[in-house]
Amino acid sequence: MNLLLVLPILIPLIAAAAMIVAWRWPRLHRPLGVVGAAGVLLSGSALLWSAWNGGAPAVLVTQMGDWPAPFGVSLVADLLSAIMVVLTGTVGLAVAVYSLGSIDGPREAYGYHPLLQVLLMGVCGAFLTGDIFNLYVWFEVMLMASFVLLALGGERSQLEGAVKYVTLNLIASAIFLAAIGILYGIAGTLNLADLAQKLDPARLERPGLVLTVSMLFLTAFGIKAAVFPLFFWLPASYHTPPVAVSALFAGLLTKVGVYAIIRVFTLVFVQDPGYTGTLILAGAALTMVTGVLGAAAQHEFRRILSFHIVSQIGYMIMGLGLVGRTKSPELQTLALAGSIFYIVHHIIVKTNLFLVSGVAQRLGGSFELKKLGGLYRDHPGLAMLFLIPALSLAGVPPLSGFFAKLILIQAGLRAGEYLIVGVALAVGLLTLFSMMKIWAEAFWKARPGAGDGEEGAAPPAGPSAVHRPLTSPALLGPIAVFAAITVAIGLGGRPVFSLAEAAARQLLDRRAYIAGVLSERPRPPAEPKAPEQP
Amino acid sequence: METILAILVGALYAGGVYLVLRRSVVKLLIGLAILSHAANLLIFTAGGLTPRAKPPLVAEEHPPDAAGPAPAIKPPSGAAIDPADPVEPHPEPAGVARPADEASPRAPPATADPLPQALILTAIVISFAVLAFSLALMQRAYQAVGTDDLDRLNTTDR
Repeated sequence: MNLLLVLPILIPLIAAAAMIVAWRWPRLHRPLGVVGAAGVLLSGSALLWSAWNGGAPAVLVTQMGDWPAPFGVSLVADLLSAIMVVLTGTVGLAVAVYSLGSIDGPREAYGYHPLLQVLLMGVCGAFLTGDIFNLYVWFEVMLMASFVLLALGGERSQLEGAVKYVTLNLIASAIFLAAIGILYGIAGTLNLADLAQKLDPARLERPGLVLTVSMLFLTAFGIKAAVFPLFFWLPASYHTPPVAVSALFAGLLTKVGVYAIIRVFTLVFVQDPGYTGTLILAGAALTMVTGVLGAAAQHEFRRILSFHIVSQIGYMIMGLGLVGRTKSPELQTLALAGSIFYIVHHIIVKTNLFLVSGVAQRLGGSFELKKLGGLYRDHPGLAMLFLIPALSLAGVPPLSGFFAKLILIQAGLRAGEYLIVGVALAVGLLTLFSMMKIWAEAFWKARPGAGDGEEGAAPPAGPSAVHRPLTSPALLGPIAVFAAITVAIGLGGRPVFSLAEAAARQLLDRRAYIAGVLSERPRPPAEPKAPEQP
Repeated sequence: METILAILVGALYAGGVYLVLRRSVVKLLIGLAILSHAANLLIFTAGGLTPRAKPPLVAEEHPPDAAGPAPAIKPPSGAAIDPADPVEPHPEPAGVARPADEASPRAPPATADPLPQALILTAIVISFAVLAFSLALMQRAYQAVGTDDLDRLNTTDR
């Protein structure tokens, strides 16, 4: 049993349990929350190191409860899973630190910090599981925590947003569950590696039925990932909770959906890559366009960012769509590496933008761009910290977003998919327009109502600004670190790209994954074991 | 039996979708509950109905050793159908050749598959918890907004 695979799930669970034991002392929750998130980051890094295996990427497998592979639940970590766990830890740590300076007392007293840990546990579990029903269970763990985090505080807008978020995610879960049921009826197994083996295109007699089920999965994961016709819950809810929660959701939750799409459509549903690839590519193009146009129409800081999440999801699945549309393995690797690189870049940048929006709201007293202004004059440092992720999101060199887009566009051009390349470039331009709108309105223009005098420089004191300072190292630290990561990925992107490329190669090599999971047997299988008595 | 259940599942989905599309918050909740029941029944039906099959308990053949009672493991293939029952239509729902029982060659040929029930049980517990939460959420939303009309819950969309 490889403890490394269990730790990213176990550490937040223990942290949450400890906080519930210390329920009456919310002050204790704060250090525990930071320690728990740091534990996820550390164990995730160790996992990535061990999956990287000195340049010969390995598939790490642990069979829970010592049941041999297709019968029990397997935890599997290939490079993609390990990368995602590291990102979860990074975002979790940043948000846990940011929460120290931004979450108010009542929310802490009602269990904000334990919920954050449970959310991290659910996300890590979803990334690490090798069993499709177990994936459903982790999705539900994650969703349940996110429901409560979203509604915690009980403001009217939060509750309204939560109604939509909860409803659409429950429908997605019902579709996911139905798809699992039909898939089990077809293949008689739930282990992803075993499914991949049993539904192998060469052995399949009726691929149409499997294709139908794969579309059910695409719909269910598409709702969670906010892909084009299914994204409406996201901009309706992500701007309502406290900024720390928004940033956590923006960084992690939709990416779990994207991860699940990439996982099942590279491992299990490879029966008709041309059809699914075309469909995903069309969805990617429409997602990019609708997202960015939605953002252009908005005038609220976080709503603009929320629509940009939708738009960026299009880029992430664009690589996967290209994989299905081309036959050349080299090109497939490049496209999928582009997707993975984009996910890495996006999680860092988008979380950072949301964190900046929170500081801007504290300083300017509002999320409405009309009411903001003058932040560049008063706080040039913060303005720079906004500009780095904003330009990176739009894809300005030499920041991380430029290279992420470059890889995808290169893959698209070499595959001859000029339409999607054109869409991706145009959407990049419109993203720049949106970011410049925020820059011009919130940072560049004079503070509204201030006139030319100095009397308007004092920020209006909101209800949250009474007890705590407007900015603090807990707020600015994570923002600065994330901006530095963005610049670092841009300037020295080679290692990240090599990692993404290795992860893509590993994803496309299905046999290694299948063999890795199914051959990992804890004991010789000849000896019959005693199942537990009910 | 499959036909009846299939019609029932279809009816549940239709009713659930209809209720979810209604404007009342309460009907929305009932619709979500019905949708999750429909999914559960679908798993049950798609997992293969084996009315005459025995539960997968295998008689002990070896003398009990240090490991205690050792019934063989039944792989969750769900393929076992009673061959002695000619009336039962072949419930194989797909064209995939199912693997033979490799792990337990001594298992009787006609055993029921317990896994769909286990999945449904898990799903029921989860949907129970989630629905209980949604009920509380909808009630709070009703208190905060003062209406149960979903068309009026649109201040966050603008």
